[in-house]
Amino acid sequence: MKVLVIIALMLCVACWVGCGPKKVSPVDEAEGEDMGRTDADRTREGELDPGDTEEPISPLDAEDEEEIILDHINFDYDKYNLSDDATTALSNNGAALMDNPDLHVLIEGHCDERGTEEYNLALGEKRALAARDFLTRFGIAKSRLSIVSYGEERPADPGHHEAAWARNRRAMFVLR
Amino acid sequence: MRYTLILTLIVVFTAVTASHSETDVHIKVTTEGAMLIRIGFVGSKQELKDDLAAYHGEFLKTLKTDLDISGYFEIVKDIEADMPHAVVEVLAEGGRTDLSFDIDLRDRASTQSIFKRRYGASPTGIVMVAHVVADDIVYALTGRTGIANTHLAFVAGEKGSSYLYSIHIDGSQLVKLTKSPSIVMSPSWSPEGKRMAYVSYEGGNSAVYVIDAGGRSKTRFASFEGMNATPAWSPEGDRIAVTLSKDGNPEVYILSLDGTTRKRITYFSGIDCSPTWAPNGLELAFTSDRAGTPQVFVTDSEGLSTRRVTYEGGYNTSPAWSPEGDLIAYVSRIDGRFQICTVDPFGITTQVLTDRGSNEDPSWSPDGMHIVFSSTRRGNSSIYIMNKDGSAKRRIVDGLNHPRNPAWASEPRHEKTSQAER
Repeated sequence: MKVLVIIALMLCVACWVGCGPKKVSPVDEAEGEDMGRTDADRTREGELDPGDTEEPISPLDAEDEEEIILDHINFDYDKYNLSDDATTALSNNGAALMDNPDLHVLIEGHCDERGTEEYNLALGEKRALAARDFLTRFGIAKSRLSIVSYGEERPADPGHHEAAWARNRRAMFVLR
Repeated sequence: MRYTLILTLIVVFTAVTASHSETDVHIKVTTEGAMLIRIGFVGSKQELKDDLAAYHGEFLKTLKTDLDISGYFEIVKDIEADMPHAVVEVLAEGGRTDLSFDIDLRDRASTQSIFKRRYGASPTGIVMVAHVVADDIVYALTGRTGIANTHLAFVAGEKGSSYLYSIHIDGSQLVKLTKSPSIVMSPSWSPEGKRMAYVSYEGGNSAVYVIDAGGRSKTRFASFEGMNATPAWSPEGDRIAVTLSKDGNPEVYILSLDGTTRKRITYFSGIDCSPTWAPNGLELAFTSDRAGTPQVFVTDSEGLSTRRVTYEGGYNTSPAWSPEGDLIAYVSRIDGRFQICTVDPFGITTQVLTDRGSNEDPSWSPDGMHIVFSSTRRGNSSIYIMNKDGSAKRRIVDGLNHPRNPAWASEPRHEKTSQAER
């Protein structure tokens, strides 16, 4: 009972701060997976040019699938422990995965460019593992969570400054 | 019997004193205490014409560069005034079809010949023959195998889409070993220098592959769940140490080459990675953050007793054990940048070898005299070598995109060719 209350509270907090799992239509309309939101909705979310005149696809044609975007999490320099922000985001991601039991996720661990490539590979692995361990404790089956470390090989921001480094120290969640 | 022994001792003693009285005057002692052998070239008495003069010039230039790079010599200009320990005379003979070089290496003081040999060469193979002669001179004067005919493996290309290459230490013979772009890193040569293990993501996740030195055949060696990284080929050639996270955490394992045995040697819930073998194959150094920050540790090949060897600073990684066994090179963060350092295997004495840009990936020359490393000392990453005391840094690889991850091949690959050319 207590556990349920805690989870409910966590979800409330997540909704309140507004960083819950975003359910977004795929940008590629040719896939026919649109859930029938209006163009205005999508324009507001930056997915469509206002000038886009394509006919909305009928909700009846759409498959019952949505793309869920899971929040990435960031880490401190040379660290792989989870910050409060990271655990909040991971809780949201966990809830989204709970709601969508068919989804499998690839967790990517990344580092900034500083430090040796070899050590950063291990550091990225630990970041991905930290995220996976949180999600398995949250109740997501380990079999749904794969991990890969890219070390410093795939920066999100190619810059060589503190802001870029902060963005690059991350774990990302790619749906499969 | 006893008489023979005494006589031998007298001879040895005399030889030692003689060499001391000789060296007291002439041998230059560098700040690090290494003694350089002073060597000079006798001016050619030959009247060389056209082609032969050019061949002679090319040979001499390569030989002098090699002897300089070898780290054992100081090349003197004036053999009368500078009083070198040894002198080299190079005579060229023949022409396009029957070219040969006569080498006479002499002790300057006694004028006795140390060796006198004729080396045949084709006009296109002069540089390679000069490398062979350089190594023969190194061997004759130091008893050590030189580096003039060694190779490096390295990685170049944009991050995420790179290739594995090999190159001769003189910058020639560049070979692209992998065919398609991928994340590639951490080459490690087999002890006989014919193959290397490396990490590639060509299958999606990291895996350790083994490829032959020509890039012709490739096999997947380790592709367990999770990371498969930082291969280190054992000195005996029968095992490869790797970092695997298949048991839920990056740990160091030793895998037999035939895949039949697998031994885990680290047990810590944080990071253990980057193994490197002691030359006797009995111990390995590796990186671990078990002390709170990444530091270099040494353990035996059973993983039973482990000791810490780096203490200075909060980031010491990428250990590389020297083939002499006396030093471990590693990367240390100093004032926010990364420098190559050495430490003895018991963690008593450390030395910082670089101070410009950021420097990574140390790897030892087969003779243990040099370290190759990647550096941003002149802007973009490139590959440099230096003496093990940090002196005489020089860039080896030019013109490729971000060359990095160098690994020095354990033995000359062209031994057979060299013999044939003699």
